[in-house]
Amino acid sequence: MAQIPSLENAPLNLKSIRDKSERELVNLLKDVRGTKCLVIDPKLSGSVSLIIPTSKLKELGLELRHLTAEPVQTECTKVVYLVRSQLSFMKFIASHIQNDIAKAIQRDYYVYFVPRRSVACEKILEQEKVHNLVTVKEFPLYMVPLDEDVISFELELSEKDCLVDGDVSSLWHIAKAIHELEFSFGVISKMRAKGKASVRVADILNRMQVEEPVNSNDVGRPEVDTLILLDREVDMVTPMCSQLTYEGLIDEILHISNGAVEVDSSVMGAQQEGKKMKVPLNSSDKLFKETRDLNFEVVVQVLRQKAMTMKEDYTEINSTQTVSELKDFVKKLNSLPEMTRHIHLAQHLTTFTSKQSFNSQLDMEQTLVEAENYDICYEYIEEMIHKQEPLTNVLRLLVLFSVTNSGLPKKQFDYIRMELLHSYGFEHVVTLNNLEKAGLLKKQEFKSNWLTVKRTLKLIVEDTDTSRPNDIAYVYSGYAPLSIRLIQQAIHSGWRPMEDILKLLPGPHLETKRSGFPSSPSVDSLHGASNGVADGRRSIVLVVFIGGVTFAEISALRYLASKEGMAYDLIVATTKIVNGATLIETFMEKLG
Amino acid sequence: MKITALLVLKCDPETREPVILANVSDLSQFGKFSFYRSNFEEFIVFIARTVARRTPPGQRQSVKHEEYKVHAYNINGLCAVGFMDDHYPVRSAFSLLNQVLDVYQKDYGDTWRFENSSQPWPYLKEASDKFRDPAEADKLLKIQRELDETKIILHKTIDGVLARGEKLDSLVEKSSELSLASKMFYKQAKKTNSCC
Repeated sequence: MAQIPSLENAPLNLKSIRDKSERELVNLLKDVRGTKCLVIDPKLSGSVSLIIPTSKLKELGLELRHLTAEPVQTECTKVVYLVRSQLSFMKFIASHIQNDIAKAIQRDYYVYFVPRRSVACEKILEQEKVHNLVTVKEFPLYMVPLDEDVISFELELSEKDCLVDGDVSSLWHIAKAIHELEFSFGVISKMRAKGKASVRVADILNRMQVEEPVNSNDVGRPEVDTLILLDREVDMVTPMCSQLTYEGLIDEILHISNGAVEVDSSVMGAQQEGKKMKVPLNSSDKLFKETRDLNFEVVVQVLRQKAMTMKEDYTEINSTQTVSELKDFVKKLNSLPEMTRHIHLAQHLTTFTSKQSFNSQLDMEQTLVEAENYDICYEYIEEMIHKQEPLTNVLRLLVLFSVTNSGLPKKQFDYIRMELLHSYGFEHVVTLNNLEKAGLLKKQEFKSNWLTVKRTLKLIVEDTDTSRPNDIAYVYSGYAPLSIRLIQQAIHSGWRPMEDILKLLPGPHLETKRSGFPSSPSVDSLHGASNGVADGRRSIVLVVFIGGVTFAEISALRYLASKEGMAYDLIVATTKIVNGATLIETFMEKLG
Repeated sequence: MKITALLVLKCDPETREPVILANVSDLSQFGKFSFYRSNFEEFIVFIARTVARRTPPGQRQSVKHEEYKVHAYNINGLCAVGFMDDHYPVRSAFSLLNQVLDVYQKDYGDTWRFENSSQPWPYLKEASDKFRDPAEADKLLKIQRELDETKIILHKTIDGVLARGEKLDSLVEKSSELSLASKMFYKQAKKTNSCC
């Protein structure tokens, strides 16, 4: 089955967005005549594979290579580099060209920057004296549809860029992507933003509308009614918790990348050992679409029920002689590959979820979120450090501790820091400094607001029924993600009634109404103007996460969108899909 | 070509005489008040019983009697008997009888095992009229053969895909293991907390 999601049922025509990117890339490549070698940034190749199948690239007469420090091995006289604007890549490209010159190899070189060229990058090419040998162009890939209701801006370092390095160039990228959507689907009239970065994006977007306005007459009725921008920083609790939805759990344990997961083929029941297998995970897989957002407890029951039903039908078919019944059963067999795939995958996940360490970590997370007993958690973390458990697991709990407690008490902070460096090595001092600078792991200076936030927004939901959920808390088995509670509130009654709570969360907030031209900020409630269902089709709320979103948060949004009486379709756009581990890893650096 | 009579009989090994369950005869050759009418019906019943008694379950046979060809088809004790003339093709005759038994089974299920008398069954009259032309029976035969072949192919497809059920057994077993391995994430945590 295809790795690229079909997007046929998307509430917004995301297929047109993808098709446009594909055309632009193909045209850029066709500009270079003859056979050529495409050298692509390894991480970027994942994004590109969601836009155009590799088989199609090969039809263009391309040789494909990943960009590394090693010289490019090819007979082609034309080399095209497709790269993000990253300084380190420029050194690679320069050394490739210099290596060719030293060997008297004559080639034409092209550097296509994604999404746009950067002065700093070209400066390096100049310094290395190769700029005059390359043709520079831009491939404006600002977003990639991951699924029918999920868009990624593919900005994986943006969280660290903003919080640690103060680099806000990614905010321009995000605003540009949203503006592109407005050119396709109309001006978004209502905007809410929470967080420093989100408010800045809102500002940039308004300026873009002035400089390069989307003409209302060109587009017709706007399809997106409301834009909600949210900084990851506003809610760092949620990504530090273990996701318990099927898709979220796959990401936690096996790491989903560009809509697929890579596992050993023996996991999937194949015979050959040591070989890897890519399993696509998107809504084109009907069974996955049905199970992805369920709590894992329920997924297991669903898969078992389906297997038993198929078995019963098979037993029955052997004693039934009707041709139409036989044909019906053969039709049911079409779902067998999906069923087999997911039973194998789920079985593999249970080898992790049944471990004591998994359940203990879960227990500590839930204890921290409930703010019940910090002493137990402190002791547990200390024990983890002494046992040298994986560092990311330790840091996740520490960040969760710090964020829910407004930092660690000074004595404990100093002690833990010393224990960490002693146990894992002093080279991790940079990581700890980054986390501290980002405000994720710090000394306590004032009393925590978490209890107030938790109670007011009802973030702890007792007796969550995971099989028939009545609250978004089912995605974390009892904890309702703070981020999604804010969105839930924004959609139902606006943020005005909860100004006091918003002020307790990091960063400014903003509510504004926009039109063909910018107006002064004014507060508007979605609740009052019930224009959700106009011509039989629900209006769309675009929720943008700056700094990342977890699969479990997306599941919670899908749950909200599926509720009876809900007037909106929800589409998520994010810098990147994240989980606790990948988020922590963006702050990790080593000396030297 | 002509169908003179169609009958459905119960042939129970424990019973000496087969029981007439349903019958229809074409008596158009006789006048309404003809002396031969009632005699002919007795004749039909007598011959049908005799032939049915001599046709074991799962078997077919044809017997020539005077100007009639009598065909009988016994499936699990339910026997269809047809009186045709010499020109009616044997293959078509059995195709018709097979159809009669199929429809009887469909209409009455297994209730005939407890029947000991004849009941009116309109279908016999319809079949008698419809299949006067053997081509109709041939058409039916062809369809039936195609269905049978389709069934065989479908069964082979299903068994091939499922390795005769082994794959399904494996999946059911695996998914049952999943259920055992699954844990209540939240309640487990609460339980642990209460211990501390």
